[in-house]
Amino acid sequence: MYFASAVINGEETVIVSTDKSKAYKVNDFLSVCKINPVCNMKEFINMQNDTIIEKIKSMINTEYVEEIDVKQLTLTAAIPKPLRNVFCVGKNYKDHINEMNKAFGSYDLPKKPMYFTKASLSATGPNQKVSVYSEMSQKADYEAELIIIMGKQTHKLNGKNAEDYIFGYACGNDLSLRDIQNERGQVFYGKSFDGLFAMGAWIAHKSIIKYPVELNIRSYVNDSLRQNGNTGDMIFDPHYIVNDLSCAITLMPADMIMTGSPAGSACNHANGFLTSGDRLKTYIENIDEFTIIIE
Amino acid sequence: MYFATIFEQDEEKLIVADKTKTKIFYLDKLCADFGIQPFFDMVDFINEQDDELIKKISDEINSDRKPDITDISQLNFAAAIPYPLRNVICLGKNYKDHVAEVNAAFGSNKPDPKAPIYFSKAAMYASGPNDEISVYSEVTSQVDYEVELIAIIGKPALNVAKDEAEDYIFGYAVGHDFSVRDIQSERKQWLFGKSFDGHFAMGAWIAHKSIIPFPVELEISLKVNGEIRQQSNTKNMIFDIPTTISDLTRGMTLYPADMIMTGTPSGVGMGRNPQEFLKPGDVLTASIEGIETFDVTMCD
Repeated sequence: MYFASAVINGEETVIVSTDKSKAYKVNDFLSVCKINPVCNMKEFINMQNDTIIEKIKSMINTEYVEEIDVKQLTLTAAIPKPLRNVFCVGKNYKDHINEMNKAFGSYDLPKKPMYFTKASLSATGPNQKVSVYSEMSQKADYEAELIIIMGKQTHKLNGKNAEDYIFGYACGNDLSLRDIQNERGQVFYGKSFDGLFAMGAWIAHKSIIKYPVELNIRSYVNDSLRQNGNTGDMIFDPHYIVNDLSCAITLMPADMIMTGSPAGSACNHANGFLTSGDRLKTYIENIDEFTIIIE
Repeated sequence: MYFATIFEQDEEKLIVADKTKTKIFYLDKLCADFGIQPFFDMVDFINEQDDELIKKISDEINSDRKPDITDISQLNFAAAIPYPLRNVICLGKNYKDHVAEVNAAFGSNKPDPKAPIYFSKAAMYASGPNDEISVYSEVTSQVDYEVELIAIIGKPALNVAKDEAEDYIFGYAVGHDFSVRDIQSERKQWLFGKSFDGHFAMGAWIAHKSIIPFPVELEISLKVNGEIRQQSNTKNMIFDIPTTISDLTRGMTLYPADMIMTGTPSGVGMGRNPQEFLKPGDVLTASIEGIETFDVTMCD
C-alpha cells in the first residue's frame, strides 16, 4: 500500500493506492469509518494507527469509493511541507566514504552515526525544478537516499523493534553544495538552501517493505547511471538509527530521517556536478522513482 | 515593548507589556479592539503582525488604557515561543574569546572562522523559565551551558542586504544552547549533542526591535549558582546580525518566527581548567541587557 499527496481542486489531498495507477482519497475511507477527514499527509500520519491502516487496506478492494486515475493527477512530494528540519545521517555507506576520502581527504569510517539536518519547510517534488545556485557554487551534488518516515512518537526505545514506530519509506535526494558544505565546518548550510530537499511522490507503507530494508537504490543524471547501491549496505541500519536518535531526541509522527547515500556522487565522475538542464532521477526498488529538473 | 506567552488554567495566552514590564495586556483582547481574530500562538502572531499593527499595539499600551495585569510575579511564563517553527539555526564559534577557549580545551590552534559556521538545534518544545532541564546523567556527564542572544525573524527574508537586515527582524530574546560535549565531539556534526530534549531554552520575553538600538550592543552574562561564568557584549560577535542574515538568506528563505542563536562568548564549562559541567540542582541565571534575566534549574 502506497500513500501520496496530490492537489485536487486546489486542495492538498492524501491518496492511497496499491498499484500507483488507480488511487482513492484517504478521506473517503475515513468517512466510511466515521472518522474526521485529514487536511494533509502529516495529519494523516499523526492520526493513523494499525487498526486504521488495516481498515483502509481491507476497504480498497471491497468498499465502493471514487476511483481516481493517477495519470490524471499532479502529485507533489509525499510530504510537501515537512514538520520540521529533516534529520540526515552522513557517511553511512562504506563505498561513499571511500570516494569522499579520495575527493576531499580525511573521511574516517564513523564509529557512531553522524547527524545533521536539512532546513526545509518545502520539499521539492517530482518533475519540479530546483536551482543549484550556480552563482555561488560550482559543486552541486546529488545523494539518493532512503527516507524513514516515523509513524508515532518515539522516545527511548532501548532496543525495542524500531519498525513498530516507523510509518513507511520514501525515496529522497539530499542535494548538496559541496564547496559551501566543506567551507563552513558543519554541513548544514550547504545542504539547506531552498529546494535542496527532494522527495518522491509515494510513501511505501512499511507493511509492503520487508524488514530489515534491503532495496536497490540508484540515481541517474540524464539517464546515465551514477549511483547504484543497496540499502542493506548501510553502516547503521534504520533499527540502529531510530534507537540511537530517540535515546535523547523524541521523534514525532511524520518526522523524516534520510539514511545516507551510496557511492557514485558527482565528485567521482568527470564533469559530474549538476548543471542547468540536467534531469536527476532517484530510484528505490519497490518504493518509487522520480525525476527533478536542475535549473 | 515586550511579548510573552503565559499559562493560565492550562491555556496558553499571549501578553504584551510596555518597556517597564509593569503594564501588561492580553494581546488577543487588545487586538480584538482592532477587529483582529485571536492568534493561535506566538508563531502565528509573528507571522500575522506588520509595522502597522505593531504601531497600533504600541500606541494602545502607551495610552491611558487600563492594564489587564500589573503584578508580573503572579504570571506563569512559558518560553516566549514554546513551539518553535522548525529547528533553531545556530552559529558556532562567533566570539573570539570562545574560539580561543575551545582551542585551549582541545589543544588545537584553529583560526577564527572566515565565514559563519551554522548548525541546527532540533526542538519541538522550548524549555522556559519555569522548566527543569535534564543533565541526562544516564548517558553523559558533560552537559554544558552557552548563553546566547536570539534574533527572531519578523517577515520572509531572502537575499537580504546587510543594511536592510533590521527590517526583517521581529525582536530579540535570551537563549540557552545546552550542549552535550562528549556527544558533540564524538559525532563530529553537532546536531545530536545540541538537540537533546529540553536543551533549547529561551526566556519569557521577546524584546521588540523598536526598543533595542541597532546595531545590537548589549551586555550578556551567565551565572551558575550565583557565580559569574560568562560575561561579554553582543558587539563582540565575529559575524554580526546583519552579516548573518545576509549570508543565510543568499540561499535559505527565513520565515517569520524563525530563530537564530548568535553564538556564545567565553566562559563555558568545557573551557574551564579543570573542566566543569552542569549537575542536578545547579541554577543558571542568563541575562541580556534590555531584554531579560531569568533562571533555569538543572535536574537529573
